Amino acid sequence: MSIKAISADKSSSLDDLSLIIWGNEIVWGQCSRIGNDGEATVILLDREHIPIATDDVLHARVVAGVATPPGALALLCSGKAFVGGVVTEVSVYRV
Amino acid sequence: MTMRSRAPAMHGCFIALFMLSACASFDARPQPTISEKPVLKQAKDYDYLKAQGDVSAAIRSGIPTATQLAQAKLARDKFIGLQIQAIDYRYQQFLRHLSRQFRGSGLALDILGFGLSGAASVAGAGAARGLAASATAVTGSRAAISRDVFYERTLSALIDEMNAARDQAKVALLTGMKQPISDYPLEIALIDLRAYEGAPSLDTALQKLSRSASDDARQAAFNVAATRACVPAPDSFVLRGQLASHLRGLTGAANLPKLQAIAAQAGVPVKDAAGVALSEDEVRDALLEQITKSLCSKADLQAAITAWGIPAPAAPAVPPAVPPAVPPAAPVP
Repeated sequence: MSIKAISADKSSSLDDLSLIIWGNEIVWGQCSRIGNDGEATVILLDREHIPIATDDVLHARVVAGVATPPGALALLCSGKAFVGGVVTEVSVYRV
Repeated sequence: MTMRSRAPAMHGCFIALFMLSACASFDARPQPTISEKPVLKQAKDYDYLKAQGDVSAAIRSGIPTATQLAQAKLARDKFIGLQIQAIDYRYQQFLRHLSRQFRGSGLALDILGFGLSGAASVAGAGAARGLAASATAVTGSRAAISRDVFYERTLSALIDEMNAARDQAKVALLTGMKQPISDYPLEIALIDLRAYEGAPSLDTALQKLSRSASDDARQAAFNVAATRACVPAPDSFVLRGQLASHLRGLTGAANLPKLQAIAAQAGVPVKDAAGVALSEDEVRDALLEQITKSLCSKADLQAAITAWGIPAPAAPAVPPAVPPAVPPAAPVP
């Protein structure tokens, strides 16, 4: 699996992370892992699976904990990310 | 402990390993000073049936007294203790044999060949001997020396894994021995003893090492300098997708000049710090990184599409993506 790592500022909100993930899944590939390197949230993208872009509709949703958001189709990954500067357990869902 | 974390120590042992590797009769483990024969005989003499007889004799009938229960517990604990000693001796024998097999190079070469991917055949002494006798046996070359370091690292890692599995299995026995016979009967103790005896499996250790190496690789991916992403606007996704899709489509050496021209427009370097020209993949990735880092508004993307000479999509907008089936991934600590 070919991986691309991108990072998100530690002050990012859950909505920011959702935008960053979907906005980069269509560039690099599907989100496969989320975590942090102590300085920022790090998102790994699987370059072998690239979703098709859509406007105004997010197909990735980041939630705190493991709560399943409405319309969730699949859990992509979960891990500890920075949310508002605080390390938080998050899950990334395909919606 | 992972193989990676052991690396510095192993480098320190390089010279010693070189010297030891020249000595064919070297044994990596000391010979036992306590004779194992009496222990093995005691364990054999006081087997499960004998212990069961003693437990039954202690608790004859009716409601057992405290003394009877204590005697039954003593019989159980004696059985467990002797069997643990015998298993430990057997394990030490196994380790000495394993070390010699590694130094015979057959087993280690097998593991090297499989890349720690857990080959069932490595546990077979016959297969190891066969490999040792093969033309792949280690010679005295420089390559052989570095292989020897690899073997030692691999062997140590395998033994660490097997020791950890034994320690884990031993907990059940030691905890059980603290309990009264009614809570930890002989039958359960026998099951735990078998688990303890079977815990140091070479196959399982290889699989764990393989997983551990894989986890290390994943963790390493988090430690690389990642491209810092801007937050894309919700109305920018189609343009981002269009731009990325166009760049991804420029494959093959014939498209390198096109990519270089786009890079020139975007202000993306096409040579590395040493002045070496970037490959087609590298130029494309540098341009995609530009999207991740700085093209997050619709206006910026439209400007880039114009400046980079990206043609408008010929077909109407494609339907939304059908997400591929994705198994849940483990959380990252």
